[in-house]
Amino acid sequence: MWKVILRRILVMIPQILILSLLIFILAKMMPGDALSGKASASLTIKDIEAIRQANGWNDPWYVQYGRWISKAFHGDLGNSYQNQRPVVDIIGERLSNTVWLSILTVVIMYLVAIPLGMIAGRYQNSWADKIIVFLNFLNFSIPGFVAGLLAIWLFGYSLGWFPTRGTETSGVVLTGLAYFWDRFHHILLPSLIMGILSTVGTIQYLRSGIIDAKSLDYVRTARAKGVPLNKVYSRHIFRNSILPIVTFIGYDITGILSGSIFIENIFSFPGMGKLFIDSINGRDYSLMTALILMYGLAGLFGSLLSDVALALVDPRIRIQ
Amino acid sequence: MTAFIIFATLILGIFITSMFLDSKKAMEVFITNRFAKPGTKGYIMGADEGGREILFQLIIGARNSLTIAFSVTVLTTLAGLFIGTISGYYGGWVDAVVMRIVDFISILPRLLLIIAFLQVVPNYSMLAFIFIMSVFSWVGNARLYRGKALAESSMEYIKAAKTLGESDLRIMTRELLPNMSSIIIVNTTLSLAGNIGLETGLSYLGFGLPSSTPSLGTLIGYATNSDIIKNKVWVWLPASLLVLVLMLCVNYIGEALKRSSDAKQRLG
Repeated sequence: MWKVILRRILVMIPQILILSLLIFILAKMMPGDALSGKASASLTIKDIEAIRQANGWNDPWYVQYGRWISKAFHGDLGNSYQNQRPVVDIIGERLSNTVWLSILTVVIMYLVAIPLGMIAGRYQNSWADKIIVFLNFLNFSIPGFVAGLLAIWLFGYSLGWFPTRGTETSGVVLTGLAYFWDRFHHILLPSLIMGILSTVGTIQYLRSGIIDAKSLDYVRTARAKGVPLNKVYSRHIFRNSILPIVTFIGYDITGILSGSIFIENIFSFPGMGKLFIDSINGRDYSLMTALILMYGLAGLFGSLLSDVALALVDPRIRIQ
Repeated sequence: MTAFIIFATLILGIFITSMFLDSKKAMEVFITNRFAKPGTKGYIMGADEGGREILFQLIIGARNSLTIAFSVTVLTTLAGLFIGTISGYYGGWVDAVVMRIVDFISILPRLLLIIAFLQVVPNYSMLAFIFIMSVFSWVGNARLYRGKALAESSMEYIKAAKTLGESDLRIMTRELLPNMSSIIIVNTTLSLAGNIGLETGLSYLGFGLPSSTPSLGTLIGYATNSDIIKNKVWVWLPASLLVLVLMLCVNYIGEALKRSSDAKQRLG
C-alpha cells in the first residue's frame, strides 16, 4: 500500500514542477512586476532600475524561476499589487470560507445522491426511477451559474428564505448558537445549489452499478442463502457499488472548487473564487498567479486522493 | 425528435433573424430609455441599462454564443480525434507519453487558466477567445477517442488489414474512423452543450467577448445587483432560460443518439 502511495507521490513531483513553470511563464507575460506592489510616487526611474537590479529582476528567467520556486516552498508568494500585503495572508483570510463551503457541499452531495441513486437502481424502470433519471438529466444540462442565479432570485429575493450575500449578517453582533446559525444560514443556499448540481455523476454511476450488480453471482448466492432482499441491497450490493464512487471524491472536490468561482460571485461570498475574479478585475497579478497555483495544487492533490482511495478499496491495483 | 425540432427551429431562427439585424444599431445607447419595461416605449422585451432592446441582444448574443461553441467543438473534436486515434492505434511509448500529457492538462484548473490567458492576449478577439478555450478543452475528447481506438485496434479487422499490407494512415482513416463514428457523433453533441455552458459562463463572469459584442452570458451577467435581479427580471431571465433550453435540447439529442447507438441501452 505504502509503495503505491509513494510511487504516486513521485509522479506528482514533475507535475508540480511543470505546473509551477507554466504559472511562472504566465506571470512573466502579465504586465507589471512585483515593484508595482511596493513602489511609491517619489521613486525616479533610476531608483526603480536600481531596485530591479538589487532584487534580481533583470536576471535570466531560469534564475528568477529558481528563486521564485524556492520562495514559494517557504510560503512566500510575494506581495499583492493592490493591498501591498503578502499574498499568502490575503488568501489565508478567504481560505476557510471556501473550505467550509466545499465541505458542506460534499456532505449535501452524498446525502442527496446516495439515497436517490439507490432507489433508482433498485426500482429500475419504476416511476420513481424515471423521475430521478429525468431530474438528473435536467441537473446535468443546467449551467451552474444559471442555477445559482435562478435560486437566488427565487429563494433569496422573491421568497426571502435565505440571505443573498456574504457570510454573516452585517451590523449585528451575535454570539454562541445564534452566531453559528447565522453563518450556517448564509452558507446553506450556495452549498445546497452546488451540492445538488454535483450529484449528477454519483447518481448515474450508483444507479448503473446497482443494476449491473443485480445479475452478478454473489447477489444470487446471497438470495439463494435466504438473505432478505432489503439486506442484500443495504449490505452486499451497496458496499460493492459505493466503493468506486468514493474514489471520485478527489475529482469531485476539484470540480466543486471551480464551480465555487461562479457561486461565490453570485452570492458575494468572500471565498477564494470571488478573490480570483476580484484579483483579475483589479489587475492584481501576483495574487492571481498565487491563486492559480493553489487551485492547480488542489487539483493535483485531488487526483492523488482519488488514486489512493482507489488503491485502498481495490486490491487489484495494489498488486500491479 | 421534439428536442431536435426545437433546437433546429431555434438555431435557424437565431441565425436568420440575426442576419437582418444590424449589430451596431442594436447596441446603440439610448440613455433616456434606461430599463424600459417590456412592451413600453416601443421595446418588445424591454431595455437594459443603456436602453438597448433585450430581444435584439438576445438574438445576436445567442448567435455569437453558438458560433463560439460550434467552433470550439469542431476544433477540440479534430484535435482530440487526431491525437487520440494516433495514441490509441500505435500504443506503446507514443501512447504512454501522450497520455501523461493529457492526464496532466486535465488536472489543471481550466477555468482559471482560460481567464488568466485571456488577460495576456494583446489584441483580443473572438478568434483568440475560441483558440484559448480550445487549447484547454481538447484533452477530454483525446482521452475518450484514445480509449475507443485502443479497443478497436485489437479487433480482428484491424489485424486483417495490417496483414493485407495496408498503410497505417489508410487503416486509421478507412477502417478505424468509420467504426468510431457513433462515439464521435455522440460525444461531439454532448461537448457542444458543454461548450455552450463554458462560453456563457465565461462571458457571465465578464471574461468572454468584448463588451460591445453581446453574448448570452453577458446578458445574464447584467444581473449583478439585487435591484436588477429582483425588479428588472426581463433583463437577465430570458437569456438564462434560452441557455437552459439550448443546453437541454443539445443534451437530449446527445442522449437520444447515445441510446440509439448502444444496443444494450436500447433494451432496457
